Amino acid sequence: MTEHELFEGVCECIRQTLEKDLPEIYESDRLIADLGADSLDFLDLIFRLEERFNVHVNPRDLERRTQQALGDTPMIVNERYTEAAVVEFRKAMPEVPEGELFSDMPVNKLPGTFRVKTFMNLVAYVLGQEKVP
Amino acid sequence: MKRVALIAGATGVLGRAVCRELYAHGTRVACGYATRHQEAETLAAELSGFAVELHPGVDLAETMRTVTGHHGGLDILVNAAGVNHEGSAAALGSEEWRSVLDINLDFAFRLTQAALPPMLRRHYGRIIHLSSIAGRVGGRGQINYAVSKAGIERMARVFALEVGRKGITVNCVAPGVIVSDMTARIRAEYGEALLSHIACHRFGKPEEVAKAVAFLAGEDAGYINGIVLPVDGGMGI
Repeated sequence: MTEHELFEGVCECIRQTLEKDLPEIYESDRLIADLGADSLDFLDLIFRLEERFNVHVNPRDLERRTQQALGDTPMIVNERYTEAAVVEFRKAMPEVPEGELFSDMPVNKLPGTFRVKTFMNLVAYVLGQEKVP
Repeated sequence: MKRVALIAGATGVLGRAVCRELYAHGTRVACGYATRHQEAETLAAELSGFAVELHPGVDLAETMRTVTGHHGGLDILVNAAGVNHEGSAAALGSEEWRSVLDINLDFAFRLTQAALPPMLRRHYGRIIHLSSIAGRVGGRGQINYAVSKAGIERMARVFALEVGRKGITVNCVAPGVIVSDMTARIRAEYGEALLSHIACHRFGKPEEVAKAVAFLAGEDAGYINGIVLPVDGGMGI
């Protein structure tokens, strides 16, 4: 699958999920702030991506991989991500500006950083086409 | 396509009637039980379904995986689980307060949350909570129960607001005085007085509640969302 095909597939799923007329979608668009998604849409989008690309996506995959990389080092303390966790997030999500991923970040703020590209990378990772830590 | 329903509180009088009614409508049923395992197994066998342990102590995500694993998905959730510990409002202990709220409201909330992912996957869902006339008018000695049922009605409405756009409806059925063990005391003590407030001048049957649930669980009820449907014979009108 080409990068363009992946992008178009993810955009199609986003349009179906949000049921909005979105003439232009960019890889850098934030799902929540720019496209108007909410937490229910995230789950809906994951299921649509699974159907569209015939893959199984774990919505907690990013956190699971981060915890694996951290070993015994804690990922979350008092409902906030540790510095070590944020370092891993930055590696896993280079599409997110570093300033948006900060030490002591509240756990509920992470979805707000997700871009269209984040979901492309997630699908690509699952498809095994791209190595994402 | 046969729809799949999970019924919490399937071994109660109303839950059992709901299971049978849904089955009669061609629905595959999963009979959720808290303690009455054998009764649930017997009911499930009668309805070609299966029994699943379902109470606040179980992993609800795992329960949903069990149901979808058996039947390939989940389309309908009916929450008929509920308890009642009566006591005067002035003297009710915190344990009696908490135990009713834990099951009738907290569990209902977590159960509804847990049912959403499999319904989202199908872009379709019908969630029906059994409320009670007590949620509307209250009742002496029922402060915990009445509050839990009023809460469940508002909770259902908020869920309806949030998930309706995904093809999932959330409604309540509010039975009046239905012939069951739970209403035995008030029917015995206040029978005539109660009947004088019921336009139909009789107590309801579990099957009548089940038919209302089955209607809201049907595909034709897709534009009915966030309502409380009274099944009370016109009580207090």
